[in-house]
Amino acid sequence: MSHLDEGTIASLRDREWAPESASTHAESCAECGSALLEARRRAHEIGRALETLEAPAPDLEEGRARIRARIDARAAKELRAGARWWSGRLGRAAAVLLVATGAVSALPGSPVRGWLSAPEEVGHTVQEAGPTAAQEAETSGVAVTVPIGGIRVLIHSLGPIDRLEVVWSDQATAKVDAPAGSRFTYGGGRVEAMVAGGRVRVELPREGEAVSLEVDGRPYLARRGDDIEVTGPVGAQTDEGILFTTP
Amino acid sequence: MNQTTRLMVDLDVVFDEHYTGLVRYVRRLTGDADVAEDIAQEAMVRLYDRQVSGTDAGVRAWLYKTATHLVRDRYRVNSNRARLLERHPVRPTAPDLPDRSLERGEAQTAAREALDALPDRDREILLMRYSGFSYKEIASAVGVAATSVGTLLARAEQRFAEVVSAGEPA
Repeated sequence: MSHLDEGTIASLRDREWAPESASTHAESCAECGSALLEARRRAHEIGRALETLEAPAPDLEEGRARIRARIDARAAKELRAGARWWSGRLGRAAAVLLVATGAVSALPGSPVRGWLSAPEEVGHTVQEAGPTAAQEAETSGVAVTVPIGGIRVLIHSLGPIDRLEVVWSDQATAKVDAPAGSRFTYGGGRVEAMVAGGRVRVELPREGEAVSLEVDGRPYLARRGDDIEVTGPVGAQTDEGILFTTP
Repeated sequence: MNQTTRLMVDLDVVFDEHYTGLVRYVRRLTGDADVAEDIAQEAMVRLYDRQVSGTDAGVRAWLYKTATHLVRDRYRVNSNRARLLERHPVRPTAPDLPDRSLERGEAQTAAREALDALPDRDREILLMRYSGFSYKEIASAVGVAATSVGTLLARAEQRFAEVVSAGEPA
């Protein structure tokens, strides 16, 4: 066998993958054995040389604060962008609807004429909005183990939320599921969800560490021990969970 | 329903475990303490922003890879890098005894010069290896085949050692 190349010797030294035959050869070949020893010596010297470049440890509190400030700045920017996107979309949709309604009502015999002129509504048929095809096909979510000290779930709506439900769970896990396009972050005992509207499902442990839910900066519920305080707009409530009226 | 629910990493835990090491790595890579902290912070923000999840080793590798790419972006033009190094010379570390301080300063200068003598990719490979990464992780971060890492590393080490030796007093 010919002598080992420098890459194979480095691999042997660093216990990376190398053919079995390479290891056997290094043991029996004086030249390659010597090269392996030299590679080890060099690694030791380089390690020592790099240690001289050590600097004072970074200020951890300052680093943490700067990271938090960057995250907050980006979240605020994203929320502003989301709000602009939706206001633009809703404005255009409203304009299209007005024009279409006007056009259709001008037609003789159009039922829209009747709707527009109806003096009072006879009755309501409430139909719960089902998930859209896109929501059915793709939702995303996050699950985090509730840390000691509890967790806050903060929801920021980038678009209109159709349905917001909280389900009590026997797991020590907080989960948020929302339509695809939603974004989730976790740190410092809080989960933040920037949800793209639609249906949002939050799962919270029914016991254990404290949990709370806020939507667009408004407290919706907080559980500390067995005490549950619900401050959000409740649509329905059972032992299994709470359905909030949409924000 | 096609649903994706992932167990996310806690940024505070990642910060505690990896921030200092990441700053050290980028500082060695760039020779600039301020840039190192800035880039380490940006890598942490991106980890949070992009909802990276996975094992601790995977998250660490992701952070270093991202930081390496951020450094490349910042120093895309070599002359910019040289100019920045001139503007931000490596500062001495902790106070030391005069003789030892002098020796240490010389060793530090030699190590810095040796690192600067390496092409960017070789410098990244060397520093990642001496930060404890496997060849596979290095290959992924630097963008080379895992089978090439041993050879590239050996050559980088040789070049580094030559420049350090040349700078040592006779």
